[in-house]
Amino acid sequence: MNRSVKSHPFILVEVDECSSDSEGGCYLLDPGEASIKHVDACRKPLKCFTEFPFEEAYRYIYDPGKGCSAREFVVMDASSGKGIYIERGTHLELDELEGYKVILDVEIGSRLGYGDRIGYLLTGKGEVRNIRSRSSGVVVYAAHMPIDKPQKAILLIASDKDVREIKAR
Amino acid sequence: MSERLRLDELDDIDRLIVKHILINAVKHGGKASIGPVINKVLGSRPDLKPRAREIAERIRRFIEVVNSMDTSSQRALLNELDPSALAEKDREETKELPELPNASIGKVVTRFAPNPDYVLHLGNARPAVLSYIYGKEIYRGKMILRFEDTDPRIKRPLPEAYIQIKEDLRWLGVKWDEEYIQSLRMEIYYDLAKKLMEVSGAYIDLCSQEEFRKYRSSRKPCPHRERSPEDNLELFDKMLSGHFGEGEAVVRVKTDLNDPDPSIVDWVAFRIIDTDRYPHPLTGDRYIVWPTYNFASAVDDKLMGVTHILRAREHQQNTKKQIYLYRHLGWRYPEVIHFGRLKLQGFILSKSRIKKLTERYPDRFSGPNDPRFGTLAGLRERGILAETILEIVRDVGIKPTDASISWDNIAALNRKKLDYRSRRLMYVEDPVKICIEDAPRELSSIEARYHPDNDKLGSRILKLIDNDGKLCVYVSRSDIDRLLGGGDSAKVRFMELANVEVYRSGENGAAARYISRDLDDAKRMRLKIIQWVGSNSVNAIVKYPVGLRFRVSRGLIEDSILGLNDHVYQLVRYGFVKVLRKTPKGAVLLYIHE
Repeated sequence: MNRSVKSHPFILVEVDECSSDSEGGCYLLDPGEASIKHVDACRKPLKCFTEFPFEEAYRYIYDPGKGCSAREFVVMDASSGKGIYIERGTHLELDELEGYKVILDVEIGSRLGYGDRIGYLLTGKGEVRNIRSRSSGVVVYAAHMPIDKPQKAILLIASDKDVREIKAR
Repeated sequence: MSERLRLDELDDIDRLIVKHILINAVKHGGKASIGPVINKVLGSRPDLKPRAREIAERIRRFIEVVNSMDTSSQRALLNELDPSALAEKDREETKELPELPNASIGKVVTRFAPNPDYVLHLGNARPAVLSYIYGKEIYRGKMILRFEDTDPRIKRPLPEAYIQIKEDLRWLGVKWDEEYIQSLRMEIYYDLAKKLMEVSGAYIDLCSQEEFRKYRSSRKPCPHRERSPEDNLELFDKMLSGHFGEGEAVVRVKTDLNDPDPSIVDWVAFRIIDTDRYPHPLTGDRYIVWPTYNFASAVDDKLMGVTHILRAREHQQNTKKQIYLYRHLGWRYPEVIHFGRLKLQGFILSKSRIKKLTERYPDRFSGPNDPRFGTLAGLRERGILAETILEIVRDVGIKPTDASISWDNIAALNRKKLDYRSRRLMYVEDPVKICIEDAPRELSSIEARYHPDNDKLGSRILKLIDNDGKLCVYVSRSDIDRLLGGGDSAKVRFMELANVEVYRSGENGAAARYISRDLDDAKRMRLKIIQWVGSNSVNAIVKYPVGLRFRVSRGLIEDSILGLNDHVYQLVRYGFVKVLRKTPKGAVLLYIHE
């Protein structure tokens, strides 16, 4: 991705079935055309997605036991209409920031190398820590939870080769 | 010179004395010392002990004669006196290093692992050279060069040291097959740390140093010691990503809590170094969790297949630490040979002191390669040959005892190697012009060989000064002062030129009368031989290192030095010098040794 999707990100997560009643709406992905579009309803075997609350989505899309994506998901940028598509079973690195205050320094689509700074945090003792990436790849999910105490931020990083760009139709 | 010592004129005691003087001189580059000779003589003839004073006096007299001979004459005389003594000495010189345990041809892998926080000194040369000799020359296996640079805070690596160390090793003739830099292998260490935690061989300790010390001294485990591997791994991830600051978390390797050496108990394998404040010269602030020497070194020895570690005795404690790590991971520890330290007396070897001096006085010291320092680069600058260093290291070998090398020892070995290959030039300090009355005209220009025993070094023309028909030369003022002493005249031989009688002339002046040309005349008259220069001479400055200062001598030297490309010369009756620079008007030289 050349552009980031920081401005207005929202996440669409793969579901078995989706109807017009679904709170998150229904989206159909066409992997061949690398595009996604809004539909009234859809179901498997079509690639059917619905929107999840962004800050909670990592619980559904990431399998910490296996260290990979538990479902397919698309992170979209509302303003540009472009997004990142990750398939199920894709290896993802989880980076977690936790502190009295947490400030993220990367955005979805950022490319990282090992040791690159991903954010800052202020510890309970009032010390500032630079938090660094322990992996390299592309940030495919970055959620900041400023309401939590201590504050938290979660990053998911995928290898370059596993990231596919799609656009909204 | 052996003519001066006629063996058939010596009694049994003198023959014994001369033999031991010659043995000592051959062993020490041509210069015998009185102490060891007295011991040898009285040791082999205890009945002479009551006459020790007289024996010492005889030894003193003969030492002067023997030390004035060149080494080839000394060897010839010793061969004449006792050929078996010379053979013994030669056997000693070619002595071989002992075999390594469990070593077989083609399968030995050794390593030299310097910290590039500074350049190498003589002490470091020992593991480097021995690892090379054993690994490559004796067992025809492999040698690894590994830069151990995982402490960017206390032992901060110097970028130039990575290059200088390799240059020093190449100079010593040390060749390596593989080269590694530990700071570029950090992920490997992290993976192994995780593996170690998975098998409960290590844990994350969040105690302060003070708290940990209390637990350790009471032989109790730190409360974090029994944390589950999963929790340790999670905390390690937090360490890696930067959630902890310096001193807030370390990784410790589990050991026997009752180990008699408290510093071994649960030793630190990783610690946090704030690389924002102490950036690493190669990796900057990329990593903040750094393996300690013991972790990185031990792991690399295994991963690189090192079979034999040759290192100083001071590492014995580290070996004990590393064995715990090997046990946790089910590895077999390589064979370790601990040898003593190699110290160089009278030279500054301390990295911190050299650093301080070069940083504080950049105009007075040229850097770590300054010839007044005991670094390898400094010794090289001073004119010490790599072969000399190799001989010293081979000589001390893998003995567990400390060895102290004096400058005299180094100079003696170096002299032995330089003597035959160095052209000899004449240099006069504080020159005084002396004209020779009645000197035959054919002396106005003479040809002289550069070396009495080495024809390959060629010869040069020495021209005298023509002073209104009189032939004149320059000699050192100190020689004239010594010659004339309290008297008015004295006979002397001007080297390669003529035998003359020098006498006082005018105020503070001197002149000479020609006697003869023949060297045999000089020998018969037991004349002292002094050096001189003539019209084809140029200015010379000789810098003598004395401690941390240079004493400067000014004089005249043969001008052939300007046309030759040698780096080292022997100045007759002065010693060996190295050319620092040349100009059309002269040369600046560095005194190496006698």
